[in-house]
Amino acid sequence: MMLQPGSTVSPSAPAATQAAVLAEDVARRYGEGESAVHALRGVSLSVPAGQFTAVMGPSGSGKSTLMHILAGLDAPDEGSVRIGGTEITGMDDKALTLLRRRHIGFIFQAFNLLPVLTAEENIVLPLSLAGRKPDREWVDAVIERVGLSARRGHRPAELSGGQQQRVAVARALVSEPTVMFADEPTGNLDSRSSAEVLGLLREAVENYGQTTLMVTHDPRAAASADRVVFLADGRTVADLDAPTEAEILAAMKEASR
Amino acid sequence: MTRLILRDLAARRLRTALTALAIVLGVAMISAALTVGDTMRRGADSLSSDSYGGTAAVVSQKTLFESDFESRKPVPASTLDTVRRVPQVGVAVGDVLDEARIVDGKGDVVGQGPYFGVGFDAATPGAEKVSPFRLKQGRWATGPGQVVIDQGTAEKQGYAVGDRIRISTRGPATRFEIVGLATFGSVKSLGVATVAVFDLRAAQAMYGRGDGYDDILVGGRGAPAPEVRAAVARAVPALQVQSAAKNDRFELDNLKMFVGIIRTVLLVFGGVAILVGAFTIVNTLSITVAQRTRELALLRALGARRGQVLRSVVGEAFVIGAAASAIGVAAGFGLAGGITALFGAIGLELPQAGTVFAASTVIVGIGVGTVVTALAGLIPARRATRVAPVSVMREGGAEAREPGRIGRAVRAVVGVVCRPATRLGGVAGRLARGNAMRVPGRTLATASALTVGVSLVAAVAVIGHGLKSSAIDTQKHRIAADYVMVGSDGWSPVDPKALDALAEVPGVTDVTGIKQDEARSFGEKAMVAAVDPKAIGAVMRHDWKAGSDATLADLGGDGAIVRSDFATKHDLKVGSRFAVKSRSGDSLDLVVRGIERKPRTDLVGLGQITVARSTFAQAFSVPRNWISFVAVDGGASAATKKALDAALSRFPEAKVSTADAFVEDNAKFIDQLLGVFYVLLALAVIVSLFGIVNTLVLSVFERTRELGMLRAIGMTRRQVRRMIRHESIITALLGAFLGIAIGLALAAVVTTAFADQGFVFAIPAGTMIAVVVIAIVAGVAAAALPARRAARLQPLSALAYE
Repeated sequence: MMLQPGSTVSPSAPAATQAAVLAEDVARRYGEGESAVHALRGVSLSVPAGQFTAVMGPSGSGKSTLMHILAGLDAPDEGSVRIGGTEITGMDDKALTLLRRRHIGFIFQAFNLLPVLTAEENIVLPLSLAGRKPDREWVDAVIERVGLSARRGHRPAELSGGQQQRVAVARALVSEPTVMFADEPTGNLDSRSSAEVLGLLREAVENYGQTTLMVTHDPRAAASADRVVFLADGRTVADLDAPTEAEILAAMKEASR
Repeated sequence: MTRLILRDLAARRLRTALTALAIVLGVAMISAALTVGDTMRRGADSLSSDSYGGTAAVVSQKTLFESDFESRKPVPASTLDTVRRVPQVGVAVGDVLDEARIVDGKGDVVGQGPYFGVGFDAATPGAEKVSPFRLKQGRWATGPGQVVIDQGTAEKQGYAVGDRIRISTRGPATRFEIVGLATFGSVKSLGVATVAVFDLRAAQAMYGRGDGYDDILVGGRGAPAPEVRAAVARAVPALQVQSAAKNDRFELDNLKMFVGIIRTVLLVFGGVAILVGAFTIVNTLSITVAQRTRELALLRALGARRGQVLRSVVGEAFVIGAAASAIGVAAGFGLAGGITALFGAIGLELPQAGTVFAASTVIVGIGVGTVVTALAGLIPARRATRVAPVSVMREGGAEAREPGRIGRAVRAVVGVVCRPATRLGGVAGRLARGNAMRVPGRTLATASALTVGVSLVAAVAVIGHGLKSSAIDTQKHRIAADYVMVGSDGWSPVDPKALDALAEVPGVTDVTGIKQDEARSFGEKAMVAAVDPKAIGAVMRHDWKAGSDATLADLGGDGAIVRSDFATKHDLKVGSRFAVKSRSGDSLDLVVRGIERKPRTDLVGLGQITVARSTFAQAFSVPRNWISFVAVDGGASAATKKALDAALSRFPEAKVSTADAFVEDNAKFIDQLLGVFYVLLALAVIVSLFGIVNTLVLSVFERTRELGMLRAIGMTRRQVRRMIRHESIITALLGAFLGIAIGLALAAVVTTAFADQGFVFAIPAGTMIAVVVIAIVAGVAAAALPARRAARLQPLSALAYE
């Protein structure tokens, strides 16, 4: 069923100094006693700044829970999480909200744009919420980068799925977060749009050194990452450096054997 | 299907409760109106039977027509013996009925009238049978200086048998000893009326009746009342013989009419509340139908017929309606007490004989509530039937559609309304505006519930304000005197001795009083006023159509000034002759000397016909002045006012005020009336607030994922709350502005239609600003619960997929 931890697994290198995200022995269970579900059973992960990391695993492997915890959306029962060197476990709602504002960008599977705002308004929303005045040049550059210059005044309903996800990418990039989380960013897209969005994520890493953590079950998406971490049954089971699609498929097979 | 309906309601408890509350309040208002109405009516009915039940006949002087004005000649003493000799008569007593004002320690008149002053013949055996008064304590008055007062007044004032109190009958108040306490039939309180029962002989002397009576009250000897009346009528053919109810000595018919009006007014407000409740129902069910598109489509795909879908939605409304109405009826009984207290607070205390909970109230309340709710459910139900089975395959939800014409109009208004919200609220305000405009139809429907109440408030405010300012302007122009004296309650006539007292105050140059009575002319009732032709020109300005102030001075013994509407109606010109008959049947032949334009509002109330005092006295016997004027040297001043007040200290039934103060005081009742309307309309506004709460709760639910996303990317809870609050305020302001616009239009129509009655279109800016402020406050209040729910949403919900 599952891989013995240790065989092909190289535990994440402790690179505390330049780690954008550092998780140590994170455990999370839902429910109590007999019926408790152990989503994470002690996962450690370090995401170095400027790296594009993908987390993969079958359904129920705990990859989503891991991302929620790393992004400060859910709290671990055990372990610690640091973002940009700041310990976030134990923070209250307000502190977490302000932390997310400043350090975290999100890209969701379902785009999650506000239908009442235009593309551009959606993009600058994190800045507006923080009461920050957008830097025009930077905003223009980001919009240009995601190729929406001609559509900045359109509402989400007037955009295709690929365009909507590009708006979401721009929204995540605009606040120059310490780390950008992408939750199945290609899950709702056709293959062409998927490629476009993955291209944008790759570009962000290369051009701006944008630290990115992506949760996905799509091997092709994972192949564009610098590193792929495999989760199964709440544990890290593999950690590959810049794997090819074939290597990923092989690792997946291994992981779910 | 029934099980599905009930499950659905149970699953959405909060929404169900909020929807139901709108109906609860509406039904509560209706059942309260019915209960208050029934209670007051029973009070008035039992007064009537208690007061008149034992009396077979009342003998009085013949009058030409019924009138509430006191102007009858006494029945001679000899008549009593004649009546007593009629074989069918068991008991017959003379009776005097006039006014007696009880004066409290501070020198103020107790109660607000009527102030019954009764002469009761306690010495005659069986007299109590024909009297409404039941002695509860002490004994009847048997001589001068003694009085029996009603128990209600005694309790309110803390009087007891043996106390000495001051009572004003004619002229200055004098001391009386309370020798007994009585009730008026079995009724606890006569509202704001007071009763003073004197000895008959003492009353005859005090009120100047000589040895005559106002009425002779007759009790039968077992024969049916009509037979007794017929027999008495044969014995005294020159006099009028009536049943006690017809004669109505205590003016209970007025009371009953008043009770009827109040009942109708309360029912109208209840209807408004129900209507607003219906708006809320339509809106809430429409939103839930939209949210349940997928569920309904699934039912249809599984083979449910359109009829079944329709029934499920209407059924839901029916269940909510029935449950809410039942609670509403119960709440209504509680509210009834509140309404009675409200009337009490503004001096409209009403007779009470224990609260009446009629079965009909329960039936009407539950029936109306249930039927209205079920009908309101029909509109969303029809929409539900149009859900295509294929929708089950689609991602449902009410996402931004291209707005129709209504949508664009709403957007335009919302755009204006939200400007301040957007400014103040920052990004939360901007998002709120976007959300409010997302489904314009829904926002409009939510707001329109508030619009109903606000438009009525605005219309009533504008009309009232116009009436008040026009009344004040007209009257200030009309009265040239420095001071005005009227009854301390504002409407009761005052004994001329009070005016004599004012005349002696140094600096007073002129005093003159006006008497008035109802008369009959050209076969109709008309008011006749008696003035002093020499003095009136100096204290009152006339707007002449024909004639001049000089006309007044030489009115002569047969001259009359008539009002323009009266002149036009009966084709009278200067020099025309016409006749006026008093109630006692005395006739005056008059010649038109001048025609006065009808004032738009007439507080001084001269009426259609004005004659000289001496002429008036030939046909009318009115002892008191309805209004009196005082002119002083050098105009009104604080010192003069003090001197005048001092002169009136012996006459608590009268008050003197400057002409301006008099006019403004009189216009105040309009404010009071408006106050009552506002309180009653407040209920409709509260009902509509539940609509706003409901819509917000539903739309928060609908936007769970969106709110989660906002929280995830950095929206604080405070910002979430602010956003929902702004949405609520925008909806409330939209409702308020539409309401004000409709209200102004309504007021414009009314004031134009009744312009000749003194209605003027004048916008009370203060009230309108208050309405807007209240709308904002209401919006904030309505947002409290939904905003809390929205802020509690976890950011994780943005990532949860079905």
